[in-house]
Amino acid sequence: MHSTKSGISLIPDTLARAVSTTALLFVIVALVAVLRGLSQDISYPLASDDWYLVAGFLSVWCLVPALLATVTSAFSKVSRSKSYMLLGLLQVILLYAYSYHIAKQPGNELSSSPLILLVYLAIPVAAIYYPLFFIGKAFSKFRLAVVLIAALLLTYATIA
Amino acid sequence: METYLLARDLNGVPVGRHQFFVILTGDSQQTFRLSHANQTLSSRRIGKQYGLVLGAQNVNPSGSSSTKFNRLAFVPFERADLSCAIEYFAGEPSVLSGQFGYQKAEARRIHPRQGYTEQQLAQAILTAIDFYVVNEGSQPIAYPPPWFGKNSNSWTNSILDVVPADLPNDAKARRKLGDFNGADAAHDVRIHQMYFKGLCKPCTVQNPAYR
Repeated sequence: MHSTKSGISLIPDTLARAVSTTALLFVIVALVAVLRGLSQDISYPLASDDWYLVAGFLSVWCLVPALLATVTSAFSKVSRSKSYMLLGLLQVILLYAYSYHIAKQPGNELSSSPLILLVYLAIPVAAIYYPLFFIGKAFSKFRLAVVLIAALLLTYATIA
Repeated sequence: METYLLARDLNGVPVGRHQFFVILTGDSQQTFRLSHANQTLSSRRIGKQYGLVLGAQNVNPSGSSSTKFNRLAFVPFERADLSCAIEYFAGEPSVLSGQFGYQKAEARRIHPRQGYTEQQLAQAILTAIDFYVVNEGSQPIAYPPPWFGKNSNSWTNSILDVVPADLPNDAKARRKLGDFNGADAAHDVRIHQMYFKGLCKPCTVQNPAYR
């Protein structure tokens, strides 16, 4: 689908999608952290920087192809979905190449790093991220609620 | 003697921190015996002093091993651990200092509980490790994907819980002591204490889901 939005309306629209989808990822990662805490008897599972560092890294990782796809489709005849798939594929190939390069280094600790989870999950995460980012209205009560929940969770994590 | 808990960046990877112990043993080299594990550890030069560098690592199963999964095994003086300890105590750049986004090692001094000496604390850590080596050998601990089980950060914090270290009584403060800046996954997860307190037969299986 080729974007027909004007350049000016595209900026707040994309910004709202970027913020709300990032917030949604923070909420999802926080939920995983809570479930992990319950399964492993961890008290205060969100009172650490670990979960939001992972969420932040994941958000930036996912946001890059989405933003580039938005710009590409706005300034060319390539559809948003096609450019997202191509850019996502390129990103995953670069990740695999980088991981392969690290894995060849003696003494590397790639398999102990959270990065290995991204290597396993890069394609499904990219597939899930597309509808979260592009489908639905940019400004909605759901997206606003997600931003507020993420802000509360981050406030708690930094205070705790 | 002085005991420290250190956290360093993972080797070759821009995401993740690894915790390990450094026990400064003084101005001369000393030897320590892990009698159950049949290992001898000699302190090495770390800056102006000598010390022990003690950590657990994600170790691939060797050809002779009966296990098919990676294990959480005790590795003294691991290259990056030793190098980062020297960087922290002597200021020499570590072998990791050239990697992208590198953050220097952080350390927290671990004091003995009231009524115990620094030597007793250090010996208690070595004894806990001695038992761990034997117990992990008989009931290996699988090293799972990060964030989903017990790793080297769980190992250091589990040891702190069973030795006479002066730790905060408050759960939040205790958690903060073992939580360094950066993604030090599973610092809040514990290995069963039986792995460190004696020879367990049978030891409780850890991380069964990852086998």
